[in-house]
Amino acid sequence: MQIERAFVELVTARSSALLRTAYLLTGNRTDAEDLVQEALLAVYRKRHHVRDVGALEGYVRTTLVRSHISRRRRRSSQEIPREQVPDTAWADGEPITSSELWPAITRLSPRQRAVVVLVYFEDLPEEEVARLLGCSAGAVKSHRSRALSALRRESHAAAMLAGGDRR
Amino acid sequence: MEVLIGDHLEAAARHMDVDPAWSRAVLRRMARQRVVRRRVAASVACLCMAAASVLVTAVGHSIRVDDTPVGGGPHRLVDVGGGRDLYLSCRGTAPAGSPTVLMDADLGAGPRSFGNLPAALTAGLEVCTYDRAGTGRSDAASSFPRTAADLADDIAAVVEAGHLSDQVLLVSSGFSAMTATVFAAEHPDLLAGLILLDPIGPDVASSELSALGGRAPGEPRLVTDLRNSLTSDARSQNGEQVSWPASEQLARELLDRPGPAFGAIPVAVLWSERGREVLPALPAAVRRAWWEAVTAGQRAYAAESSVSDLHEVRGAVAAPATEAPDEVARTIRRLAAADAH
Repeated sequence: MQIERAFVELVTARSSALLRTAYLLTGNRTDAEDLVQEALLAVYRKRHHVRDVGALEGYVRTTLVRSHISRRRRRSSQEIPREQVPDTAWADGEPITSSELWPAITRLSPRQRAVVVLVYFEDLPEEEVARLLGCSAGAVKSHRSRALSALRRESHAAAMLAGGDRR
Repeated sequence: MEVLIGDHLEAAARHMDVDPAWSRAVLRRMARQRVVRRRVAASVACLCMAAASVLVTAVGHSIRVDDTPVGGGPHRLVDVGGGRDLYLSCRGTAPAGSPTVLMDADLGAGPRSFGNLPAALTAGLEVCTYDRAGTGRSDAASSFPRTAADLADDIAAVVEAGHLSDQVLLVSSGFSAMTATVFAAEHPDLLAGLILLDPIGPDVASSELSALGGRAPGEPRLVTDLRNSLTSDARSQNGEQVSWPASEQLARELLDRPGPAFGAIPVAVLWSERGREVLPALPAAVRRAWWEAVTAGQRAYAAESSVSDLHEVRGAVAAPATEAPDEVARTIRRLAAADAH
């Protein structure tokens, strides 16, 4: 009964937090709700194997992130190709506005985006992110570095385009 | 840059609040998984029992799987007549003049559904649970379908043959409130008080049916399924073969009689504050009517006693005994102490 209660508490008290993470991974509410529900039910189906009730949210979060990545992998062939963005160098430290960031984040690969969300939104250390994604800490470091480069590049290009329009 | 990313993600996610309908749907789907699991387990158990029965018949022997001692002791088989034994489990000791607390689980559930509540009450009280006929270690009844009246008679037989105190405080969950209603009418001398946990009123099903309304083209599949289940007597397809409509009818007749059905017997009705969360994911107006039907049924029980107490159990969703055992235990102790005085 303790596990049943823990699930009810998780759904009622922690769904917002899970949905926020899912939203940042998927980019829209419908997919986020589907993803969280799918993860909750997947763990619930295996609830009798849960040894640590206190770690329930962690199990759900791991399932959520991994199923998002595998789902994106399945869907990748159906996705519309992204727009071409000029490959412009961007100097580190140069300011960009937050409005330019979101489109750039949505164009990251699923793993890069997951790393960005888990590191910068969830404030998780790289070792924990590696455990969640089922890869090495080195791989996380690499995804993070590439994601930052892509964000800098794309955000700066968008800023330049916007500036050009104004001119 | 990295701080900016964090701030931006925070701002982007800020508007993502939980839609209550969504979280209820998730809880509902979890509840459905539990039902499916139980049904699969029941089917497997039925197949195993059928196979065992064929084997026993073939070799011409009768076997008794249960090795539980008969007679006294905390766990025992009680002869309730008709060649049937019911399994009774008691703990603690009732002080002189104090009633025994007897717990009757919801239909489809057993004593385990009370969790640690019985153990938490043993200081200063005798607390008993029993397996209804055809469940757990108890023998099955000989004729079917059964009704709340048969179940009430079984309780009376357990109290008398089990040598419990002269009177019991009956803790009834869900459907068992109907059994308790019949028990109060037929055996008031054995009853010191009633604690009804999330009781289901006899008119709830018809009110729920009214809330669903007539069949409309293009209505959600869930609405159609619920209407079918409420009109097809699917609720009587339980392992104990207890007829729900016949039991409802019995309870309704008793509650509809002039005057309070429970008289001066103390009655405490406890309902789950967050019970709405496990209601079906219906359109908002139907859900409101559905919830009103559920709570009206609960209020109806409290109104049948001149000494009643009706209150919500904070934090409980569907099982007050396990979700808020302290509060339920306090209520039981209060009624037991009042009776002892």
